[in-house]
Amino acid sequence: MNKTIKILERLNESYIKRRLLVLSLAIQNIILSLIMLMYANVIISNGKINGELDYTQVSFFYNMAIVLLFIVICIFAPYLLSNSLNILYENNVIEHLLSVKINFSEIVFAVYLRGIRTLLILVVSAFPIISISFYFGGFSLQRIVRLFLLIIIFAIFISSICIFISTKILDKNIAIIIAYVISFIFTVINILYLNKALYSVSYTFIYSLLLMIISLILLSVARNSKIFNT
Amino acid sequence: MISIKDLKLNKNGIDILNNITFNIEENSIACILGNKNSGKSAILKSISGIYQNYYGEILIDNENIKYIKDIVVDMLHQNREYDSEITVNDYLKFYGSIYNKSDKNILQKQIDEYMIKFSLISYKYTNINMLDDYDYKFVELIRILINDSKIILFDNLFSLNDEEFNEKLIEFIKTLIGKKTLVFTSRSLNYIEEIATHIGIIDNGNLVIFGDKESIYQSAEINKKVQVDIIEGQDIALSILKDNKYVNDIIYNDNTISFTLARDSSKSNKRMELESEILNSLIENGVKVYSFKRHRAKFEQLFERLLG
Repeated sequence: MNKTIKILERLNESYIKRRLLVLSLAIQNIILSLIMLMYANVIISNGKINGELDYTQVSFFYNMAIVLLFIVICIFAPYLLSNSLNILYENNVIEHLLSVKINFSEIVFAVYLRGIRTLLILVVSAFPIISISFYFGGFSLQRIVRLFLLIIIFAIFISSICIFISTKILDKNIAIIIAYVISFIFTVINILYLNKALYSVSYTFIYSLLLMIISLILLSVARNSKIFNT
Repeated sequence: MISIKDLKLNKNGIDILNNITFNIEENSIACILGNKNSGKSAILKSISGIYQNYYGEILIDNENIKYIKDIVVDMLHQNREYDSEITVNDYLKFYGSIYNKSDKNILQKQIDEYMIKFSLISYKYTNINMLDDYDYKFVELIRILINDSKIILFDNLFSLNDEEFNEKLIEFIKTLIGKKTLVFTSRSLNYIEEIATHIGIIDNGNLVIFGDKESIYQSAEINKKVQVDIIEGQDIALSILKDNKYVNDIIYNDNTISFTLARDSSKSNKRMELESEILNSLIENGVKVYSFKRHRAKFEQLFERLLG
């Protein structure tokens, strides 16, 4: 674990990726803020006219906010992870690290943590806006926490798929295309089944557990990959 | 001692190495010669731990390299890392920490000392990708020196065609002689003869030969030429040489006679004895000898002969 942390410190995201992260962070939160402002404006305007708050349009805005977060995961996870190992391999970094008794699995894990870290910064930064709006929109605190849990677990799940692809496909362009296709499919499925997953605590727990188990399997297979023929 | 036993490596369905077996004694300097894609780098990569899915065994002091946790082998790579957006200092600090140099101050002091020694201190905070190939090689040397492992592998160290730079490297390597076990790979045959104690030749994944330098010369059947420059008495010299059963291939031209010594005399001690015997008999018979010198066999010649 100590070595993994050292590699993680060493393998920072590239300058372009760091810039893009900052930009995306700003864009994502501006869009979310606008959605929530629009929502508040509609509700309050109606309230001023009718003298009562109409929550019938709430679900539309909420769905938009959640879908936006899943889209962010769907866009960024493949970008950050699906060709990360291939790039390190092409740049001789894997070879150099292996020659100093660092295991391939430690490299995979460090790269995975690096991707997850970036992705979570992006996603978690949206939580304050969403949680305040949702709370005032009638969501219970428990339901909001469960929603965030599912978002984080979904981010971990998609990241695992992407790192798995990175260790299975040597060509970085093909890897990123496949990762985007698979991520898109899973994002759509996840959005469609989100309401069911949020239906009760046990449903959320089962859904999260399922995604985590699949993630762990993918990660352990990725760690033992022989694609770089080392 | 490094012992390699029946090393086989297959990459993408292609046999890179076939039953490679040899031993490298402690503190010796071995050079593995071979053409491009002959498998010489694959041997080093297997020893260093980059390739792990090989068949056979690599033992270091009778312990399998796969189970040794310390970094007893360090490698100067042929290709540089391109991904890093880090400074030279951070790069060296990272590897220093991997080498378990826990005290950061001592490590930093060590890095600074080596950077001054190799005139790289002005590049301390330069991005490592901005260095030219020469400076990068010296940064790699510093990395290796910080680790201070007992076995150092140099993959194509003399790949840069800069005589001054290569001479510098040779000077540096000479400081390690007797302290470390060094293993080189090389395509270029220059510079190696001066420092290598053992030579291996690899061709298409097969080890053609491995042994100490002298025995390799014997195997290659290279008879070193002796050249005698004569001031007076060429005819006498010719008759003496023709009468000697160990002397072959006599060529004479003006005041110069060159010849080779027979194969069974190629042991270094015997050669020297024979050479001094011949020189004495020439002088005793009144031949005025201006110079008596032996030409060293060229590695190119050795290489061609061994590979047929």
